[in-house]
Amino acid sequence: MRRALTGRGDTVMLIVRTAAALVGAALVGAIFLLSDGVDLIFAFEEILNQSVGSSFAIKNSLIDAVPITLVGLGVAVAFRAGIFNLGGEGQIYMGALAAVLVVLNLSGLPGPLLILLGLAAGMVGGGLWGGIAGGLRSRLGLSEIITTIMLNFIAFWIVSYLVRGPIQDPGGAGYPYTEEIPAKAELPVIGGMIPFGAILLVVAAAVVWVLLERTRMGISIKSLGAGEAAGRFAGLKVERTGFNVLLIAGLLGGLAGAASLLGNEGRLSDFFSPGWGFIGVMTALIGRGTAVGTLVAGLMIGFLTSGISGAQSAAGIPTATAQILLGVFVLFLIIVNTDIVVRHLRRAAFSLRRAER
Amino acid sequence: MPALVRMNGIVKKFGDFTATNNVDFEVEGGEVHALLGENGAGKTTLMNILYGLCIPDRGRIEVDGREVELNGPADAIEAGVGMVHQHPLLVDRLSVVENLFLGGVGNGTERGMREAIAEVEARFPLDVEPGALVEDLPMSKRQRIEIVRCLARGVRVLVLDEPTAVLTVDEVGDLFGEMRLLVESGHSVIFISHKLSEVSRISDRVSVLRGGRMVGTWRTGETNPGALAEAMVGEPVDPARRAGGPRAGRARLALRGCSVVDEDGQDVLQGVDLDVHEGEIVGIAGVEGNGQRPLAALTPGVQPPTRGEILLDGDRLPPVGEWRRRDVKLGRIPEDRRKEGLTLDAALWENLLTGPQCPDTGRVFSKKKMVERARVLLEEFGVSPPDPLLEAGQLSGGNQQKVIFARELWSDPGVVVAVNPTRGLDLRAQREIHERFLALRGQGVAVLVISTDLDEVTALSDRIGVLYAGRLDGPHPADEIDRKEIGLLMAGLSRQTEFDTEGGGLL
Repeated sequence: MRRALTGRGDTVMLIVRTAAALVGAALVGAIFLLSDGVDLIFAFEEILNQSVGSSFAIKNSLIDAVPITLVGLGVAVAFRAGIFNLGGEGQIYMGALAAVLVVLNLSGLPGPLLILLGLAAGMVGGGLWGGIAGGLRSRLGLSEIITTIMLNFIAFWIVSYLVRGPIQDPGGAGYPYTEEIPAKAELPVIGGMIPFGAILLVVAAAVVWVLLERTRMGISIKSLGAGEAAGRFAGLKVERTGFNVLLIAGLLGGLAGAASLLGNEGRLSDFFSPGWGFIGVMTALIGRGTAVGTLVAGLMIGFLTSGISGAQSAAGIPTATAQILLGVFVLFLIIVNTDIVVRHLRRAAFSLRRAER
Repeated sequence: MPALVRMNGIVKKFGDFTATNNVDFEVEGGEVHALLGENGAGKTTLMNILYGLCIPDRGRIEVDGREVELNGPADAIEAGVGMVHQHPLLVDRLSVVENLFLGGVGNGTERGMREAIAEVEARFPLDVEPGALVEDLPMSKRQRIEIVRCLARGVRVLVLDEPTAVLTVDEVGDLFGEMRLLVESGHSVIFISHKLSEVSRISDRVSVLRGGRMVGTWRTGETNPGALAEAMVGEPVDPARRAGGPRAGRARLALRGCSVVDEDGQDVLQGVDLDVHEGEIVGIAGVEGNGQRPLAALTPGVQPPTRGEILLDGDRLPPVGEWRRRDVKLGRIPEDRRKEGLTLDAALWENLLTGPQCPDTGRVFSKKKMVERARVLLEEFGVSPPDPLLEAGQLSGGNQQKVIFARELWSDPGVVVAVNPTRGLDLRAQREIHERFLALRGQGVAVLVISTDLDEVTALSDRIGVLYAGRLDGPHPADEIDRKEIGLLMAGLSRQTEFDTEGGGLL
């Protein structure tokens, strides 16, 4: 008989499937590379080098993994409740905005405290954004699919307005960004290889794992995701759980924004996120909605992103081809997880239909 | 008159369960033929076989004197048999015309369809704006669209599956007019119902099914509701199972004037008063759709009553979402164990921890401990296999039900409410669950069993109430009411209805 939790056999199968996906993607990607006249062997060697070849490469890869994995964890928690959080972008921008405001305005404080406050502010900002979507869902029954996307636009344009006016860097020659954060507020890199954000990542994944697997709230979340009727009958506060889940997703999205701001970007602009919020959705899907899976998927995508973009100039890969290559990898990874993707999309369709009524 | 439909020796088994057992059934041309029976008597199975939705294990079907093999609704329609479902199978977001088009009316062109509809309308009024969206139409009009759809496809025998259950009184009158019109134009109508008064009013002949067997067929004018009620409910299978009488204890669960108005503004429950005392089992009988659902939702605190109140040991019963672990005094066995009772994708131990019944687990629990606790509980309740890591969906129905009992009785509630607790279970599981109820009664628990299975109600109950059209009759002490009387109440007649042997005199 089948057990409820993923058994060892399933894990092995998943690893085999993932490996097959990576090989398949490389083969398809090779077609694009060849059509650009790129030296294949050299290109793949370079991609490997640039993702894991040196401590510097590993650091960059981890930095790329941080925002998508944090957002992905938030998306994953929501997935398990059958809720679609597409608001990662907005949560990232609001988180980064809150963090940059705190860090720039309290720059007199000592570094560690400043970092702590910056990260906390990021979570508050993102949590606010997730909480709005959660409130609209639990109070008014509005589909989170729609509200989270709309909130993305609102957050983006708030930031865009601010970085072109009130908080624009006066010495920035008119670029739409804020002043750089003080050096003492930057997240440290441990041993020149492990960025502090990567530690945040593991901690966040662990917290999400405990939440989902070892608390009654986690059971509520999963029960909600498996269908409302049983949970409602058993006495779960269905609406409250829906709100909590989006709030948690927002906290993690906000943390993603703050961690990227303090860890790498150094300043907030209106081109701050290259779509991390949506890559985070992919990350959670590839991770099958589990904490560990999302962590692994986030690291994989982070290493691929960093490797491919790092190899671009040396191997002569055009930007468009590099993007295609990354897309092919993500697509193949999603394909091997199709069962879970289809199930979530179907649920999303139901939740849209409910919203229409 | 030659039979238009003749079904001979129809046998259909689902696993060990025999849904229809060697059933013979005949419909003449130009008659309304009522098909009566309790839930699970085999009416729906027999009609699904006639409509090709279900393939019989044995038996012979003739339509118009020719033997037919029905492997799907398309074959049935081809043979001249159509079905109108209680909740018409239409696409709500499309218009009437679009639905008819989808239903295969006409030759596939719009013009062909309009001609086909016009042809039908000459005999049978559609009386619906063709461009109207189905979702804006009342149920009666939707049923009419289905009738037209059948007629336009040349159907001669129409099966109406409990059409009146979803209609208002006026709409029922309209439907009966339509049925007469159909019969006059040479069609036959098979009318499935539980309601004796309607059967007497509209049908020419009536057949009664009980427990998968055909009890008999009569001319409606030559029988009477009392005889039909008796034919429907039959004799108790095992009258000696119930032990002892009610014990006089204090009332633990009390409903005071509870009424429920549903989303459509219908009164689905009207002024229900009910006490359940400690150490007794109160059974609520009734045909499905007469208020069981709203009553069942009320008692576990899922849906508050529109009017009236529910008291648990004298205190108002709060909505289940507000229950605290320490004050769960009510165990609930829901009707649909697969949807409401359990999360099928989740493991048993997780299912046991869903809801407020379980003991304190602490903020972050150890899975090992929880699984161990679950194993002990599953063993205690005889779940087989007692493996907490199995998914709930992998257990048999009887074992799923035991898991629900385990969870709901975990907090030792003083009151237990169950809805159709043994539906779809095999005999052994049924017996085990009945014994569980009797044991609870022995422990002084107040038990309320709402069931459409009359055998279950009579076997278990110390007092029996009957729901009909949202009203509760009784409960009466079990030894003061017999099955025939319950049958009459279930069919909406008074207990004292005299059996008029001349027949038909009732109405």
